Amino acid sequence: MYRVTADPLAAQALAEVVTVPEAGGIVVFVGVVRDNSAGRRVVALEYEAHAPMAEAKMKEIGEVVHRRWPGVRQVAMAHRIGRLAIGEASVVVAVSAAHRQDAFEACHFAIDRLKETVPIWKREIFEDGTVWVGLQGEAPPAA
Amino acid sequence: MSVKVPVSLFARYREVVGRAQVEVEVADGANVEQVWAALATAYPVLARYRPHTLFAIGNDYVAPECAVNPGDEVACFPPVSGGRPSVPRDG
Repeated sequence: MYRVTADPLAAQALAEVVTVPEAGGIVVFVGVVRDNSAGRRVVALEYEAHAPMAEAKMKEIGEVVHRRWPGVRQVAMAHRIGRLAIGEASVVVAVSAAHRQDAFEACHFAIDRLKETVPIWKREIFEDGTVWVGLQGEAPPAA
Repeated sequence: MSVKVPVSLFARYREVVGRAQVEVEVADGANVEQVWAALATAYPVLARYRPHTLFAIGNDYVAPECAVNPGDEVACFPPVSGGRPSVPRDG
């Protein structure tokens, strides 16, 4: 399952999606909203996605995982969009495998690749302004 | 002959233009870079973002030299949030 959603994410639900009888281990990564960024206090984060492309890219990552770790049984990824409060989950990656080493490695690979290639953008909302991550260097908008 | 190409904008680009979907007119056989040029002419506020910009057609990343075929929708957007931030971060 590869999904972009505005609804709150449930790590347990994604773990259940990848639960199969032949898997002996499940690793679930949950990315949550942190209250600071580069020394500034973050109030909230806002995520925006190119949803169909994001889901297609997550599926591609899943296919790479299956090729690279034949012991992996199931992969699921979900990313939330919209405004998220501190502590809320923005992304969940769940991987099941016959043995735990494959599950740990594949989950680590999948979240790293997701953050590099999946078209999702994050705006940090501070007490005194906002910044689109990836364009931090830009001058403040003219208008 | 010219063709109209639908272009979708995301994140900062959507904000500065004020729309998520626009249409630009380019010569038949134009490539993605020429679509960007038409876009930046129609919305000069976008011009300064070119060095940061990523392009996609449908659900795939494409290079600026990629030809745009009839029916293609071009997406233009800034770097995705996990990749190579311009300030040091601890992830």
